[in-house]
Amino acid sequence: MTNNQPQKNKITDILERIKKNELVQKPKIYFRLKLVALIVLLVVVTVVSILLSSFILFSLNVSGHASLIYFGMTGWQAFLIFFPWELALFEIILLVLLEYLLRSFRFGYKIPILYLFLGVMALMIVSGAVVEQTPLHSRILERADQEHLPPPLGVLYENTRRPPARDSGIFRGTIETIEDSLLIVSLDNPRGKGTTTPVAVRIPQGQALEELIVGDRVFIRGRLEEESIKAIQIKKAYGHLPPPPHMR
Amino acid sequence: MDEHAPQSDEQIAGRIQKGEKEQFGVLMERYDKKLSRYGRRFLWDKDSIEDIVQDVFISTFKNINNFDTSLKFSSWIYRIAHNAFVNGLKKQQKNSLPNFDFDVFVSHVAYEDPAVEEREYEEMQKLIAGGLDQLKPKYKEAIILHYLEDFSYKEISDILQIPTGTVGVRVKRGREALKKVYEKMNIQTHHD
Repeated sequence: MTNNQPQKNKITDILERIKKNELVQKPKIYFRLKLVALIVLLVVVTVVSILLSSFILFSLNVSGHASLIYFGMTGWQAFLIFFPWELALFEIILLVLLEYLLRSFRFGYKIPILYLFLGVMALMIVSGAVVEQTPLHSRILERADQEHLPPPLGVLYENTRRPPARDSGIFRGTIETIEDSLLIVSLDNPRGKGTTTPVAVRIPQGQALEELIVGDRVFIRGRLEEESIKAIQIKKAYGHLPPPPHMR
Repeated sequence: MDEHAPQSDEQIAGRIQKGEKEQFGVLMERYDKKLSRYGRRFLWDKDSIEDIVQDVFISTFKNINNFDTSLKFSSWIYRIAHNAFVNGLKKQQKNSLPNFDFDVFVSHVAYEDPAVEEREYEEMQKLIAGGLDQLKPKYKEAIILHYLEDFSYKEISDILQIPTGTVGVRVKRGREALKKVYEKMNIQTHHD
């Protein structure tokens, strides 16, 4: 027996099994369907990821929380506390899944993991920002206000209206009256719904009153003392922060 | 077309896809020794290697319709073989090839200079024979594929499914590590 004998036997054995149809090729359609399933999954994950990132931006905009960063350290702290970290974490999980799926393709594994991840993340954020500009989320929010949404979605959208917790030292409300050095502001209910509490806000020195008008939605940084707030800073809430339900 | 003219692996794979199943024997003849030799870099047990090569051929035949004939068949079959041998290695030893590697996270420039490559190729052939086992698995596999199996960085990139730049870095680092191994053993590696 020569050294090549085991190899010959192996090859002959496989060819025999092929002839007897014991070994069968998977048909082309199998691989095509697998590819289609992969692409469908990729599209679904991409769409969910874009919707989620747009919702995160929408919730920061609607709640006005994005304005908090202009309140210095306290504002940043409140911003970080109120940032929807659970949603951001879920978005990261989707991005990792997206990256994993993309690496099934030749172009995917040719790009370094970090660059692919950063590229996909940038794409999702930009796409999310574009979707956030559309009326999609506002319409869903309106449906949530009318309680036409199923529980997980409804709660998610209702939570976008929540103002910062009162003990954070930052309050959100609507200007009802402007007097010399005093504002009467209806503070938003911390639960995001229902009646509001009117409080007197003492305007800090140096605050330009002309930039504020009745009906403005504002963030106030200061200390709540019974029914008045000694404000340190007052900032308009930018974005399309809607009035609370009772004022519409 | 001249029937006796030697055909490329890709052409033969195309014929198998069209139904000429017996042509698979030609591919097996071409790759049997190569894959067994490649398997010896991972495993020591000859029977295990032969069993895995057989499994690789069976898997290749079953999945041949997934092969894109515009790409290189050798990279494709080595990809299947690589996975099979790595799995075989995992079964045999606890210290298997790690999945995490920072090299694949960022990009690297990979440049193959033919003149330098040729000079280093002969040198590396000698060096590799004895010092491979002292290298980290990720460098070892890159060195084997480049210097012993004669694959380009691009082809190795398809076999290992990592960026081409990362292949270049692994080959370079593996080469340096191998030289250090031999310097420690006081073996002359290069004559300028």
